[in-house]
Amino acid sequence: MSPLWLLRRIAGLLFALVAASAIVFVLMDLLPGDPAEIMLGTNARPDTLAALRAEMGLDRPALIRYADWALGLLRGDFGRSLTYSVPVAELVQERLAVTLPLAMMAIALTLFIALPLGAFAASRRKSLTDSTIIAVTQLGVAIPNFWFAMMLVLVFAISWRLLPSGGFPGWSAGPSAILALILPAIALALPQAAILTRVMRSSLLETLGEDYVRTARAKGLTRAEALRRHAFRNALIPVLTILGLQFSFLIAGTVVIENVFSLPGLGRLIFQAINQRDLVVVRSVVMLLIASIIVINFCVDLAYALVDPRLRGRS
Amino acid sequence: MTLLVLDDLVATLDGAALLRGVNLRVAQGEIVGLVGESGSGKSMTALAIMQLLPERTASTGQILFGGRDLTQTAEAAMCAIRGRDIGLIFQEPMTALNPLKTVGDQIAESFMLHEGLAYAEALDKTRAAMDRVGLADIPATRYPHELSGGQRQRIVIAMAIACRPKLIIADEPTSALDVTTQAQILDLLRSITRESGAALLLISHDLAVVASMADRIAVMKDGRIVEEGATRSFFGAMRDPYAHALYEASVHRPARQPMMNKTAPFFVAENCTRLYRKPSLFRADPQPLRAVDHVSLALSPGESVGLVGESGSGKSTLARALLGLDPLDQGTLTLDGVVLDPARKQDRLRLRRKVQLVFQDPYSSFDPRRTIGWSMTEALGHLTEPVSESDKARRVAALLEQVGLAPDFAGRFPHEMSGGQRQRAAIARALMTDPELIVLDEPVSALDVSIRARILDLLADLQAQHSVTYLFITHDLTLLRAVTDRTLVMQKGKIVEEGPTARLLDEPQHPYTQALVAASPDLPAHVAGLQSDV
Repeated sequence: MSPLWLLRRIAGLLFALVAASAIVFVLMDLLPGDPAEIMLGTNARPDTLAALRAEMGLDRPALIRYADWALGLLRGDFGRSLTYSVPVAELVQERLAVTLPLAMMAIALTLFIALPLGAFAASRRKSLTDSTIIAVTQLGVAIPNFWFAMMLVLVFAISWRLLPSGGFPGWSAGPSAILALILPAIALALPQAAILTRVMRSSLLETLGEDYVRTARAKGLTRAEALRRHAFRNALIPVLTILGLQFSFLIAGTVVIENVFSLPGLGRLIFQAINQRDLVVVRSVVMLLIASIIVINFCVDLAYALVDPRLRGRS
Repeated sequence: MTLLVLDDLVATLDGAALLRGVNLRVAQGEIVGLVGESGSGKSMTALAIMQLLPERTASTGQILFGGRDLTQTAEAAMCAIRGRDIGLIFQEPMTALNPLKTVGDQIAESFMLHEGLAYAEALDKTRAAMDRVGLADIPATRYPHELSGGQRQRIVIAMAIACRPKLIIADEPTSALDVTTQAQILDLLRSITRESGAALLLISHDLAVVASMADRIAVMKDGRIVEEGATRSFFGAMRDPYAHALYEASVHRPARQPMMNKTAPFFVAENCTRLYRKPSLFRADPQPLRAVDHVSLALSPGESVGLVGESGSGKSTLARALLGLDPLDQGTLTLDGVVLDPARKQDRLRLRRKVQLVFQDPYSSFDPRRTIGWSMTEALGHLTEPVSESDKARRVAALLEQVGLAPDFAGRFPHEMSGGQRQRAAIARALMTDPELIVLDEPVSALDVSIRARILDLLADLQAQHSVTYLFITHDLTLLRAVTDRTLVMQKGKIVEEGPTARLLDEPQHPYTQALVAASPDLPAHVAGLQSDV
């Protein structure tokens, strides 16, 4: 990877972060009335409103407020939640301890299901196995994840009593903390896995028709060897693109799933903050989510370059 | 000793016959050329020998390789034969290699697979194999995209010959390459087969290539071999009418009036320069690529001018500049005495009207969602005075007739036509605005020889009728000789030689022109040489 290439990507990353923060800030600022008014509701007394405005620094110019907020984010100072009266950073840290492992489990599960299943379907193209996999993934794409989550609870938690139906005992509780995340991770992962399986299958089928796979066969490789050694990595390139997009769906999905399973995660935090009109929390958490998606997509770009030498440039 | 026998080989896919009874013998160490047009079954024959026919293909007949019937050989045993005893070289070097693996690893795979070598040993042998195909100065750690087309084809050859197979099958190994690269690759194939004692089955659409290489020639049509014989006596003893027709089409020269009294030029390009700069954040590229470098040319009414050069020599860039599709960094274009500036829209439209273009690939040059009639009329009214709908339709019908297509082709879509019909339609489209100059960018190189001969006749007729000027861009010297009055030779963005075509090809002065002429297979001369030997 040439340093110039990397430098350009990093410049792009920084630009995207700055632009995103500006947009988040402006959108919150553009809400009718001002944040203080929204938080206190229409019946607030003028002096309470003025006090809150002063506390939030709303009397200062927008540019200063933006700079304050953005620099604060860089220092890890996310502001102070108005409902919980604690620093937002603390809240986020606590909630991330749930959401981050949940997201990782979901992504791992997605990959673990989609890559082998897609490859399997492609290698048995037009067989009964293939059609069955296609039909099931079609269903998986169509089913809403909250409904699917409730079905999982019905079967595994209520009927069979194998796994907890919701809540989170905290990491100090050991293995039962992991058990509590299993159903939510499955609920998040399966619809994404269904999509990714289909992408993997069609991408691999296309790659199998490429000339270099025929070259590999002419060299004496069996069909399975040609698939494994030559087609698979090439087929991963479109899969990476979709995977990058799926991260954002996954993060949006946590808002719903954490609510269904009453998990004290980031998704639930933002949901509650919106209900309670805690704009300080909303703004910072939204920014955090956007930043994580931008960073993940940056990582996907790097992964492209790792997979595909044509994108690396000559070092 | 006979190495390979195809005995009444028949193959069908979903009811369509691919091969209808192929009989062919290849002796040890022999070079056999298999010639035919697209769809004749040449490539299917190669895939059948490798037992790599498309899935669901049903086949009967025998393929005896060293006495063993490959049609009865189990897949596992076939895998051991492929790459070890039979090496296959494909047409498209650009796509035949895995883009994600180094070329060395791809060659080494053969050694690891068939000779059971460890990676390090396989890499040593890979180095030797790359040296053998003339890539001694290319590191094995290169990726395919870092190599040129010719170098990639050498890699494919190195892969095919790695385990010293008894039979090499080369399916159009040079069709995607430049003339000089083609000559080098053919030389390499010839020397490698001779030196290793392997047999070579050379598949090509180009009779000239096959005649210059093969000991024996077989002509294929509609899934059968219709003519076969030793190269030496082949051309004097052709009995099959199709083989005759194929030969005639290959050496076809359209009847055309050479330009006698040249009038004053109507189109003059002076000192044209086009630079390609690498994009840079900070400063202008200090050493831009001079794609077109101080080129001047003048075209007279009714003449045919050839522009020849290898890929990357700047031919197409020059054509784009002449059409006003790209701006010029330097130089002027003068049309009918008026100096035009392609940066100005008005001048560009004027240029487009008078200068039209016919592309190499007639399929991708038409909008697949529009009828031919729509595509033909599109330029009218933008480039010309407003034209009434009935006049448009009349003009389309008249031009379709002139190019030999029925008027109802106006309502057809590109996919409803054959390659030759599409190229006729492309020529008709170019004539719609009544241009003075038509730039023909490799107009027949994507077509089969028999169709190609007819298109050349058509172009000659139309030139006589419309007294239009042609600028032929091509790398095919036989074509140049047949259809142009004079020729410009382009190398690295510069015109290095120009003159009357016949003289230029007979007595090339510039070393580059000499190399081009030496590299071009010349079928009539070759056949004449063969017959004087007999």
